[in-house]
Amino acid sequence: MKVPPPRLKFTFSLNLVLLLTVCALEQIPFTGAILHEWLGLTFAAMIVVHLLLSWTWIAAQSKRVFPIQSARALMNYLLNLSLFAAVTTSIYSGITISQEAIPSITKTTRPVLYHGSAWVSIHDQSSNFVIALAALHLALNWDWSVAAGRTIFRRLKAGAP
Amino acid sequence: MTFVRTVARLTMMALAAAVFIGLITLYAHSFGPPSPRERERRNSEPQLKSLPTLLQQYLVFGAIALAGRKILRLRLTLR
Repeated sequence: MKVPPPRLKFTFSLNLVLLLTVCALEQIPFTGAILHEWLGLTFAAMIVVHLLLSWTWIAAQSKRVFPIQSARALMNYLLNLSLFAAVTTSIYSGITISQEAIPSITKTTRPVLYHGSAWVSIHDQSSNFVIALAALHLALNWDWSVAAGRTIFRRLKAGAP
Repeated sequence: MTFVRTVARLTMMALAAAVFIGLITLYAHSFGPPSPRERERRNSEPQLKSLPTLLQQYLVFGAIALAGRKILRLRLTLR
């Protein structure tokens, strides 16, 4: 599918920011809890945009995957579905245990968190899955990423917007 | 038209997310009560001294992506 350059540039930039953000979210000591929560909410919004931009591909894959045509196509589909499940879990559990961002948006009291509580464990575990699955997602879309990167940098070098 | 299409897609996305949230909520309820003596504490302020661990995270991410690239390039086929 031919993607117009401005949209390609936006999609590539968004994916790059998502990659940088997903790793930063895993390092709470570096970001601190407050920035982690706001970054997490921004990440959730970026994921929605990412999915909307990829919707044509998602719809086509969903129609094409059954009957199974190749192990690779099936693996790609299952991996993306697992990534969606892991990201959803991570965002929802993050919202549930939020100490700063959600209480300040909803004007509610912050929940008391205990070590080893269900949502804390689920948030930690699902975040680890997100990292691993996002890396595999990148691996599966490596050719697209490299081609998009080359196109954008070639245009930038040529002075095109 | 684009607006309606976007809303329809967002609704489908929300429905799919709701399924996973329902399942994970069931799973969360299967946990036992946490120890009320140990409160979870996380630093609220950013700490630049933790920058090396962030860089390590990027390396781990890159290593998984490279390993995945090698493995998934095998192009397994069912036929």
